[in-house]
Amino acid sequence: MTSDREAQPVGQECNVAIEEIAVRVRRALVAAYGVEVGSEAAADAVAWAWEHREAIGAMQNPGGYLYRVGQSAARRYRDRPIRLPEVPASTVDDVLIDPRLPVALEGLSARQRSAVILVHAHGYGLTEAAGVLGISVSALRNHLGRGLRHLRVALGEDDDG
Amino acid sequence: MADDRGTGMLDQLASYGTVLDAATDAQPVNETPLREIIDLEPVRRPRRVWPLVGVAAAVLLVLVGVVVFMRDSNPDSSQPAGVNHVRSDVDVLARFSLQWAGPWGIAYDGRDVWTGEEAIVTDPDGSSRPVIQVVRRNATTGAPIQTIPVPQESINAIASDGYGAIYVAGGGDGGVPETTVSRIDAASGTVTFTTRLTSPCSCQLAAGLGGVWLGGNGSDHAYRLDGTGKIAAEVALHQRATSLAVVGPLLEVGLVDSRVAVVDPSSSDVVRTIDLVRPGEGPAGGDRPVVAITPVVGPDKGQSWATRVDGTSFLVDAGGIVTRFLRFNPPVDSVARLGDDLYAMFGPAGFDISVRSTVDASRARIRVARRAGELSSGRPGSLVATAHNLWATDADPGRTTIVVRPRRPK
Repeated sequence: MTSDREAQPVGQECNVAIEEIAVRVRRALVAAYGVEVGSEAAADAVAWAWEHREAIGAMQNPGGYLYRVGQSAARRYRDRPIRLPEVPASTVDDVLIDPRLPVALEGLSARQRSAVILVHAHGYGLTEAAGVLGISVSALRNHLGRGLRHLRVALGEDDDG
Repeated sequence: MADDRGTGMLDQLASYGTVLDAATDAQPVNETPLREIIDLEPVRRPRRVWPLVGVAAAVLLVLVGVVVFMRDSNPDSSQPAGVNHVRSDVDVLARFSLQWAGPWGIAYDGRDVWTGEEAIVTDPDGSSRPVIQVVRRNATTGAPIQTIPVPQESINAIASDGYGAIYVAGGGDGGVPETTVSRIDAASGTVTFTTRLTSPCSCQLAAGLGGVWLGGNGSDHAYRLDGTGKIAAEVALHQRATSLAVVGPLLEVGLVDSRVAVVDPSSSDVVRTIDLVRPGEGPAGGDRPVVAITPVVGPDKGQSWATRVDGTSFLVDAGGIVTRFLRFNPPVDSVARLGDDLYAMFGPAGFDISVRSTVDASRARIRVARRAGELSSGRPGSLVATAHNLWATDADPGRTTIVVRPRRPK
């Protein structure tokens, strides 16, 4: 943090761990609260992590803890609507995304949206996603199933497939 | 076909993850003013708490209903009509107006508060003229104790070294080009010297280390006057200065580029530059000036809190290492330390005093957020801590000033 000293106030291992956790927490908060509020809440959660990095290092599930810190921070923005980014007109990774997808995702509950985005948009495993959200795998599976079903209805796809 | 459609949606979701990450990376963070400070302690087991929250809310509603009923049924209520009842976490001890003085025209000497003011006096021939004076005031009531005329044409800053010397600076701006600095002996109430600086600096003062330092307000130099008024040192800074304070045996100067320059008074050299950056922010720089440097006293003497204009305060230890940081509401106009707490004042108008507790210098934990409600209709000016109270002034002519005493958290 200083320009003329090599010493760091915290260990490099702790730095790396918090930064890795921060990515998951930020994605989860963005999924739950949208890009604007989720980013602010994630910044607050990471700031909290740096202020309490000794405690974070001793936690079994620091990602889940920081996610709840971010939830607390997000309460101050609760009057803001959830906004997800629009899809580009061109293909992304050779896939043309339905422009209705962001609106359909915004129509899900926060838990359903978080589950769907973490697992299917970011490719997290069920255990990893459940850990970040602080819920059980079975609960995550329920949210995921309901979320996908609502998405299919919103996008006009059959629910039986 | 059904499987194809389902897979298609999942493929779209997978690609949408890339869109989400790109949008998140492009999202500016912390640029939106936050309206409230809240404790960032995490929500603990929210499902189990909900029943308790429901019961508490019901009890609260009943209590509120009773209070409202009693108030409505009592026409002789002591609350005047039209007053916005904001729950305050401070007791307002005094409210008065200081005639126009500079932005740093208040200082505390460990016992009394010294203010720079302008008074209009009427001569025997009936004509009136302004008189610039330093007024010694009671730290709790604000009542004037002593008035000392000074030679400045306007007072820009006042500082006390805590050992009986009060320094006053004026001029250095467009109205009065030359900067003059005077020293007042607090015991006798007399001006012991007045020095004119050829290099104008309409800036802050920091007394201590055998004299007084001038710096800040955009100047890229810091000056030291010794106890006789002679210019003992002129320190070139690599950037424009925005604040300064004597911290232990060193002078710390806040710069416009979110850095702090540490000056060794024995050599008058910048011996260290400290970058005030949060993890993940990138290098220091840009437009985040350091608006306040607040020394830590007591066992942790030598540390200081340096606060950027965006409301982030960094605890800098005696070795120049940033060990902790915490966040106020941005933007912060002034910061003061009272006991273990840091207080910040911010606007834009109708300013509040809000607090984040440091608890102790090693934890920097946010303990409580307190609001004092709307304290003035003006823009935030300066915030000065005395032994038990805070003096807050607005920045408008007339300088509405309040003396408040924070209530301790229960």
